[in-house]
Amino acid sequence: MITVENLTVRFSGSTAVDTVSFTVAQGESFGLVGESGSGKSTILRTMVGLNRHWSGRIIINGMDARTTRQRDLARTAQMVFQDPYGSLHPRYTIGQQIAEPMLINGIADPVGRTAELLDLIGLGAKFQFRFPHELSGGQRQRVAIARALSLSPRILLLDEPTSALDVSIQAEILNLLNRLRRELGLTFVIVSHDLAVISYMCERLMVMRNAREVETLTREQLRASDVRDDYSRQLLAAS
Amino acid sequence: MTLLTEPAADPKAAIRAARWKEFRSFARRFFRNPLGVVGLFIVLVLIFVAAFAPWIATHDPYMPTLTARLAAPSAEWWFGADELGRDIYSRLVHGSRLTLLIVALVIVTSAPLGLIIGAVAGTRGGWIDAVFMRITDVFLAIPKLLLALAFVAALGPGIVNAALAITLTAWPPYARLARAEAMVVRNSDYVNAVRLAGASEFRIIVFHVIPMCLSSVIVRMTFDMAGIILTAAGLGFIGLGAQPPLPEWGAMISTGRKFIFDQWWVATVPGIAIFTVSLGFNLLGDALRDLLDPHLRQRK
Repeated sequence: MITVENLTVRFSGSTAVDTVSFTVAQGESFGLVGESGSGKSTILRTMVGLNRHWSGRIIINGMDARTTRQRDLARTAQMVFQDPYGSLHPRYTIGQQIAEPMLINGIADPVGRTAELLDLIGLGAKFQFRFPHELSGGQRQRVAIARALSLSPRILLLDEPTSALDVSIQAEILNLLNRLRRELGLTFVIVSHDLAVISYMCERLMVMRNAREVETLTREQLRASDVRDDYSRQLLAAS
Repeated sequence: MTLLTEPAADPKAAIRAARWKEFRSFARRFFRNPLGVVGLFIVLVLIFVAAFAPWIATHDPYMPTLTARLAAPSAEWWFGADELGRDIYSRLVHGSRLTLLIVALVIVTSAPLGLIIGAVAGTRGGWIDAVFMRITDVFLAIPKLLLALAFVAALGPGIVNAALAITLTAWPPYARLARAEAMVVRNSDYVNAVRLAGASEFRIIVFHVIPMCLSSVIVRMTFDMAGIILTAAGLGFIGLGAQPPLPEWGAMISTGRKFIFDQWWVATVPGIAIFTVSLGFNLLGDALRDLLDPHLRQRK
């Protein structure tokens, strides 16, 4: 479903991602873990085309990310951002924001589908006429998920989807995401610095440090503390 | 509330209701600021007077009455009469139309122009940004009144030309303002989200970046209106704005200057009018800035 080969991203002098490779199978949930600045968010942003300057190969559902038009990519992979307070436009109602990607891509009946999506993520259609500032952080993150799902993508890239939320809301959002993955057959790539979140959500994970891959583990290895690298062990001990 | 619980019935009406609710809460916060209300009142009075000038004026503003030349304020001539015996009060009332006309002409041309140039430059960045902003710098480097003077001198004096001349010098600050906002907004996650959905640059700029620039531009606009009134009056005063016999306030002060020691009201009354209206726009602008300015709002 997703193949990343030798991805390198440089920002004016510094290297944010250094020859990283991984693959994600269809329906799988893959985690990227590491301290802040280790380049995990940059990988996600590069995969959806928010970074221009990168080298290597990214194949998403058979499409080369470098040559595919943004619109074709949009129908396959969507992203949920870290900060729910910064990812919704303050001037538009919730319904308008969820409908916007459908309007851009000419999908039929955006209004009806917006109501369906709001029901799907557990807010209810009545929320579509609210403005973002009337919603809590958890509700906003649900809206951001609904917007990401509006084009019926098969892949969802989640950039620290719960780190801006308090603990009780975190669990709700994670359960919502797990339910959506089951019901819609989605493939996830989740970025987090929280090993607990990753081990709850992901079957496989990659530990990153200083823009490089440290090692790739399965959930079972993680739970059994079966790690080879010292850095992974530290990370595990810290959580 | 019924609208919020029955959404599917009429989405347009529900969105209108949601916007109306936003507007009401905005109005409530606005009315907590007494000075802002005073400013709004002055501006509304100006608009009202301009709209109903023929009914509010007591005399024909162009009709000389030779027996009343330079008459002092009285029951017949409320604010006195000028050197041709024209009623100053009626000329003031009709002059409000010219003032509003100039302000409106300048605002509807300069604010959108600056907004679009700034938003495009800030969103696109790169060489487009460099080219647009250097053009803006060039216009900012020319003294305001000098450029207006040269423009009026080339095209001939008159209200529309004066407004055009002021526009030419008024748009660069809007461009800078909009660019600064756009540079913040273009990298925000809500713009990234629509970018991921495949939105065109045009759509991003028009529907997602410009709405975020609007509040600072509106605030700047209200402040600018006072400046525009003063510049227009200045051009009228030196004889390059409205031409006689038009009752433009700056031109009225200019003719009254000759009599300022003996018949002070001829120059003073239009001066007070300019002062009051400028103050009104400034008070309104201050109050709006307190509510709209994103930088002030974040600090709270």
